[in-house]
Amino acid sequence: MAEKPMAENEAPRGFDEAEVSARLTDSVTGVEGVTGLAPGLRDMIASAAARVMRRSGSEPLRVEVWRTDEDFSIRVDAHLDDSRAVTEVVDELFAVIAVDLRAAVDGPVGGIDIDVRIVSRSS
Amino acid sequence: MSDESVDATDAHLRGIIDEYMGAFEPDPEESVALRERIFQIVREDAALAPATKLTTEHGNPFRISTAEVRGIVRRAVDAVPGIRARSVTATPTGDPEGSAVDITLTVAMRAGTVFVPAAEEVRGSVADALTAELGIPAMRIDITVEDVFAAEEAADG
Repeated sequence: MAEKPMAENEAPRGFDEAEVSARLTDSVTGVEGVTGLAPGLRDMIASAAARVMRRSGSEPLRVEVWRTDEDFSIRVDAHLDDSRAVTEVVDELFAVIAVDLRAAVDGPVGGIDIDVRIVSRSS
Repeated sequence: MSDESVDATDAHLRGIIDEYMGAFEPDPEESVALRERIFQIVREDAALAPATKLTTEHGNPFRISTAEVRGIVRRAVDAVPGIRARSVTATPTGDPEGSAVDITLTVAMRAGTVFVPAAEEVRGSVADALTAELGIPAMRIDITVEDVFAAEEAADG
């Protein structure tokens, strides 16, 4: 998995992280069988920081996306229902993310590293 | 065992913590301690939810809560009359790795149940459930009977 640059204060041209993340969040939660997002690494860190610093740390859950040069990394933590086999949902997530990422980014898209974690599956 | 105790590399985790902490501008003397405390909390939380790495038939890798995989297997075992699941271990296998799973089960068997046909029924039930619900085939299903229970215990659940 690609590492996100630690001091990335300037968004590369053609890449608005919040906008792309919001678009991919809509795409992912629109896939049949996905009932919602689960806390990802950023959410876990925000929650932990809130506990340590006694602050409010709740933010809407979203698909994490970051860029290294022309390569993109996407992380999805999802809850599923049992309407479909898990692998069917995962394959559709990969397809939807690849298409919508290219549509959302103004400029070349190199490698796409998609990290999907299924947190729960319920009836 | 296929469980991942932590989902991400420590470096990746520390990178996100650094980025997050940048927004708060804490006292530099407190900053290192805060980062370490946050790191420990996230590591501990991640360790509570181990995941199993699998791969779809189209080669797309994913991770799923190990508890969910065990739950699918456990329900399939319990659906067989006279058999109750005890421990369930799912180990990714196949080529590519994770395109199939090996299942190792320990079960309790009701007294009077004939093991060989019951074991075949368990294998069929588990294989069908894994394919239908997870979409991943079972390559091997090993079953060990570790206990026998009376009929009234089964009725009690």
